[in-house]
Amino acid sequence: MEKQLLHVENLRKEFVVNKTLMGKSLTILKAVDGVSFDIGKSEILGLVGESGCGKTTLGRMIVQLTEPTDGKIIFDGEDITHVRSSRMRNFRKDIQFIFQDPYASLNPRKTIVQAVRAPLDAFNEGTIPERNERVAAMLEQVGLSKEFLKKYPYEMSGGQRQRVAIARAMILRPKLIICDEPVSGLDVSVRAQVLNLMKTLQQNTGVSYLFISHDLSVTHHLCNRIAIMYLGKIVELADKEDFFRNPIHPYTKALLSSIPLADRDHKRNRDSIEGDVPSPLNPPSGCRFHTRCVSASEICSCEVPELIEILPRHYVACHLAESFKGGNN
Amino acid sequence: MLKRESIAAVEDISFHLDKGKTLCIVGESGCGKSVTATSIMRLYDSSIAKITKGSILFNGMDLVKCNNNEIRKIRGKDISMIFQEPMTSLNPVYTIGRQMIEMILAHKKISKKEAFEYAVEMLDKVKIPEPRKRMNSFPHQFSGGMRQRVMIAMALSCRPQILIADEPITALDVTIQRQILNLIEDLKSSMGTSVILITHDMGVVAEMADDTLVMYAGKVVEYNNTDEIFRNPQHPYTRGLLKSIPHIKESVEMLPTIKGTVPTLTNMPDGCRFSNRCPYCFEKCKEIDAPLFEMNGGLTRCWLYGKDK
Repeated sequence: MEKQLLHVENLRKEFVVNKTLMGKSLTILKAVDGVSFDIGKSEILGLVGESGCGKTTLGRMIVQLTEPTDGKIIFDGEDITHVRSSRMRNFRKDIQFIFQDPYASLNPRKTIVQAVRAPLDAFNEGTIPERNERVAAMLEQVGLSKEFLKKYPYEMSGGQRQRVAIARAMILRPKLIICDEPVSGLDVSVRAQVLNLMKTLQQNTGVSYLFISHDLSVTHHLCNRIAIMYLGKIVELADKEDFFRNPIHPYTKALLSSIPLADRDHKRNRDSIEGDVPSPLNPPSGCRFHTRCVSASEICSCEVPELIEILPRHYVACHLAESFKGGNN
Repeated sequence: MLKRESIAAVEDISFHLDKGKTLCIVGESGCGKSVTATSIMRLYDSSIAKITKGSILFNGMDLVKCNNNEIRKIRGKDISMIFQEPMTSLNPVYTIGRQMIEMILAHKKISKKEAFEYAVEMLDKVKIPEPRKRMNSFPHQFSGGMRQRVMIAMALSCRPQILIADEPITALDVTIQRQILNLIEDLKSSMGTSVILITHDMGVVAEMADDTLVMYAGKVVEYNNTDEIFRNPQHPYTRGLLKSIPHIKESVEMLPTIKGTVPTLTNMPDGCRFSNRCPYCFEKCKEIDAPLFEMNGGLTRCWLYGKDK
């Protein structure tokens, strides 16, 4: 594997909800509950899960938009978990964020050139004309011509706005970009354009992505490695080829068979897993998936399975992983 | 006074739906797929919108010519509809039970008690656990998937002949999407309901549809049975759309794309509306919009298939 860029160890985030006026009878929501993983240099890690599984909270903690309750975030060899203010400023250059809704993340009263130049302004990079030049060059790289420089976000389509957001995230030449569902709000034909753009930029600059998504086919196209999250925990983590060829965790299998495939000849598997995702306020005991798992046995409801390396570079958190290893799909 | 201009949201849409079949209307945002569906139920705001031309024949009766009273009798009873976000279609201050009973009593001449029992039965049919207890719950006490189940129960409680589902699973999680698709499929076959399913997801089309209508910028660009649409897409837009979907079974370095973006209704290209994005575009495409040509047993709006190019 390439050199490590980001190392996350046992990261936790608990939110206190339902606080009474007296500060009593607290309910604690464990949004992220002990998550560990690495991202290598120039690697794209896909983080997939359903709503409420904690994937966004995890991304926000890495960029320090949310403070972790416990655990460690090591970026480029330095512990940045509790680094604050001035020292964090340096890391902000290296870690950027792209959000799902580009309209909400662009200031409607600023022109595109102002929006994309803002990071350069904040770090005082070069003179104003130099900055403007860099902005124009960056916009060209994301496929927007010079005529967009003076436009406002409302004058652009969703795909174009997302290109602007990508340009803004890339302009400081960061080492890592956290992309939180960057293509979920886009139409199919535009989504393909943005995915290609993200892939090209990654190949040209060697930046790493943490690509947060709920869509396995999109992550399949873009990512090198894939992690599946369920109720605050990673349940499976593997290299892309291995992941799709030999999925082990029952939840992963259920996700894979749930995707409607745009293929008329595909033999359709109507197996669905029962029930809803349990509330993270009151997660099931033991393995959090056991309430919906078809293979659950006694141990699953009392003991929390650890994420272990079941095959080389293939991590699974399931008591029965050994017996699924053969690949019975 | 502001000068008001009228724009055509959809033009020249024709299709037919057979008993017990599923028709998918697929297209990207703004292509007019929802307008088409809501027009059938006449759910548009009549102060700003109207059907200017055409007919909607339901069992031989023209819904366009129906007055408001007549259409109200059909809505919910013979043709019913479910929407993308069930929370906005359920009233947050009334219990699920009250809303279901209201709907049943509007169309059936039965007592309140019978209506209650019938509502419980419907909730059970859509697999809501403990339906009797759940009758007293409010919409916010349900998850997204459960709310959509309630919507389906309401929509099907009068055994409609047509169910119109407008992006019914878009707002739901993947595993829940699968459950709802299975539910629609099961109820369709047990009740013999015809379904018009509106979606942007080609995967859903491949799974559910007997026939498919592909829309682009307010017009039908291709209409055929679903097997042909997938195996032998004719219109350049359909082809581009199918190719641009990432597939978990094959890896490609770069996805084939359709260049540019969907034009807005006020800024349509002359001629064929897809001409500015089409890789096969020639002179004629930029001048006159193509009619629907018969191709492969279906219809395709593209000059490539015209006899005199």
